[in-house]
Amino acid sequence: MAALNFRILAQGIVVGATAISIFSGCTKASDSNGGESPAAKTSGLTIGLVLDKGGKDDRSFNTAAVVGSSQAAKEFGLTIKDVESPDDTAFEPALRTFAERGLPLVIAIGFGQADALKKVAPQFPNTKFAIVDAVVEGPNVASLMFEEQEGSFLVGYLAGLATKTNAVGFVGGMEVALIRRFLMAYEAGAKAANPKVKVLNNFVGITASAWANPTRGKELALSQINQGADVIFHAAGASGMGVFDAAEEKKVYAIGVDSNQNAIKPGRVLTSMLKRVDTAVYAVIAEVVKGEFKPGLRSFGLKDKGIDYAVDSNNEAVIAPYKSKLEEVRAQIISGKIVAPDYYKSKK
Amino acid sequence: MKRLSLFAPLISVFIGLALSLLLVVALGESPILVMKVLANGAVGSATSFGYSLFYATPLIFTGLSVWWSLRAGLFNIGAEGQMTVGGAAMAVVGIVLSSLPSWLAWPLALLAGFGAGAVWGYIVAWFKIRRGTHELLTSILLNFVSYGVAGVLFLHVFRNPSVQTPETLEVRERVLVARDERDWWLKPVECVFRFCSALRIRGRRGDAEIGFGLRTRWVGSAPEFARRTGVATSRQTMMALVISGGLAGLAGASMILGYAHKAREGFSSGAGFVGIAVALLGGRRAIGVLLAALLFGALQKGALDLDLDTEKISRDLAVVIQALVVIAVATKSWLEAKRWNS
Repeated sequence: MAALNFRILAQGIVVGATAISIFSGCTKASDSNGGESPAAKTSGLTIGLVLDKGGKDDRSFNTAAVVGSSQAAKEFGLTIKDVESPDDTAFEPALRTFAERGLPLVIAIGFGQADALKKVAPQFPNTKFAIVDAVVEGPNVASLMFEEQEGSFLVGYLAGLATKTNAVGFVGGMEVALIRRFLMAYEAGAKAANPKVKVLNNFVGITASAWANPTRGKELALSQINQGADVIFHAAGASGMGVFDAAEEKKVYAIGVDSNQNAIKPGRVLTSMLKRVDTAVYAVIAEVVKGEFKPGLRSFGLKDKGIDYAVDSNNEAVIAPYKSKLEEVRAQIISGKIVAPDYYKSKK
Repeated sequence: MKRLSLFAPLISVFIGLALSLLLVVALGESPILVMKVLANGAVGSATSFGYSLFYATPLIFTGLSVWWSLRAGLFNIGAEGQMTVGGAAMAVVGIVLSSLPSWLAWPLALLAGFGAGAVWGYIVAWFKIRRGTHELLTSILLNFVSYGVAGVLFLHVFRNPSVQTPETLEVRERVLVARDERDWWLKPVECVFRFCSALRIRGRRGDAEIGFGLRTRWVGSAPEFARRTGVATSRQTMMALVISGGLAGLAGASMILGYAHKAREGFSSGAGFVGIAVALLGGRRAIGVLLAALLFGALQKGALDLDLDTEKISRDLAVVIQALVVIAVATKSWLEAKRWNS
C-alpha cells in the first residue's frame, strides 16, 4: 500500500510542477496584454447584466438584452459585464457581487430574479437596478415592462385576416400569467379581424422545462393544424421551434415572438411579434449615462417601438396583402381607439 | 489504510485542479488569475464564504446520503429525487402547520423531510429485496416519480397564485430554521451548523466500530461473511437505503426552510447528482464527505465570478474541475484494484 501511496504522490508532484511552470510562463504574457480587468482600464462606466437561465445564446430574450447593452456600450464607451445564471440560487450572489463592486447600474433579465432583487436592492442604495418583466418597488429600481397585449392583438388581427379556414392556433410555453396575456389579446385581435374565427390554444407545460421542448411544441401545433388551424402564433421560447417545423411540414403559417424569427422558415413565417428587450435595456443604460435615471415602472409598447412586428425580406411577400390594414390597426391602438384586453388588469 | 483515507482524496483534488488549469492555459487565460478569482469568490469575504457554505449545505446531505448507501455496498443514485420529495414534504408541513410552537414546528418539518426521503429509499429497498431489481435502476427512475409528485404539489395544490415563477406559498415563519434578517449572511452558516450538529452525531454513531454501522459495512464489503455471521442482510440493506434516502430528503432544508421560505419547482438543481461525486471524493469517512461538499460548494460560488473577472473562462469551469477530480478518484480506485489483483 505504501508503495502505491508514493507513486500517486510522485505523479501528483510531477503534474503539479509541470502545471506551475506553465502558469508562471503564462502570467507574464497576460500581464503584457493587460487582459486582467479591462474594466479598470477603460475610462467609461461598467454596467452589469445578470441573464436569465438559457443564457446569452438563446436567440431570443437573453440575446436581445445582450444586443441592446452592447449597442449602448459601443455608443457611450462603456464596458458590459454579463453573468449567466445556472439556476435560481445564483441570481442573488450575482446581483450582489455586481453591486458590491460599485457598478452604477445592474440589470436583471427575467421575472425569475424578482425575489433576489427585492433582497439585494435595498442594501445598495447607491447602485441603480433595472429588472425586465417584473415589478420590484424601490427608490433605486426601474421595472421594465412590456405591453405584450398590444403586439399580441396586432398579430392576432393579422392571423384573423390571413386565415382561410376560420381557425387559428396559439402555442404557449409555460402556463403563466405572462403567456395568458399574450393569448387573451391574440384571441381578441383575431376575433376583431374575423368574427367567425375559432382560436385554438395549448400550453406546452406548467414547469420551466416547457420553454425548451420543441418536440411537444411541434406535436401541439400539428394537432391544431389537424383541427383546421392555418396560422399559429407561438410564445413558447425554444419550444416554438417545433411550431415552425410543423408549419413548414403542413404548409401553414407561423408567427414568431420576442426576436425577429422570420428567417427561421422564410416564407412560412407571417411575421414576428417583437418584444424589444434590447430597446428597453438600451434606454435604461442611456438614462444612467446621462444621469437621468428614473426609478419605478416603465412600460414599452407599440408607441415607442418597444413592441413591434417584424417585416424583412423573408416575409415581405406573405405579409404584403395585409400590411396597410395592420398599420391602420397599429395607429388605432396607439391613439387609444382600440384597447387590447390586458390579462393582468382583467384578473384584478 | 487510515492514513490514505484523507491523503488520497487530496491528491485527486490536486490532480483534477492541475488538469483543469492546463485547460485554462490551453484556452489562453492565466491560471493564476483564475485561481485568484476562484479563491476570492469562494472565501474572499464573509459574504462569499457564507454563500460557499450555502451552496455546500445541500451537498453535505446528498453526499452523506450516497456515502451511507456505498458503505452497505449499494449505490443510491436517486438522491436528487429523494431531495425533491423531502423538500416537498417540508414545504407542505411548513405551509400547513399553523398552530404549533416554533420549537416543535421546525423539527417536525425536518422530520417530514427525512421521512419522505426515507419512504423513497424504502421503495428502492423493497424492489431490491423482494424483486431483485438493481437499486441503480429503481433509484434513478424514482427521480421522475418524485418530480411528478412535487410538480403536482407545487403547481396545483400549494401554488402561489400571485407570482409567475412556479413556486409554492410561503412557509410559516415558525418553521423557519433561521429568521434573523439583520445578519443575513450568517443565515447560511447558521443553517449548516444547526443541521450538521444533528448529523454529526448520527455520523459518529455510524462510524462506531461495533453495532449497527459495522454491520452495515459488513454487508457492503463482505456480504457472504455477514450472512454467515448471522447478520440479517436484507434488513441491513433496507435500513441502509432508508437512511440514505432520509439524508437526501433533508438536503432541501436549508433552501426551503432557511433561504427561500418556499419550494420552487426544480429547487434541487442537480445537488443530488453532485452528491454522488461528493461521496466518491469523500472516501471512507464522514468527515471526508463533509470536506468534499465544502470544496464543491466553494467551487460553485467561486466560479460565478469567473464570468465577470476573466475574458475567456466561464463559470462552467467549476463543473470541469469537479469532473476531473472524480475521474482522478476513479483512476485511483482502479489502480488500487489492479494492485490487489496482481
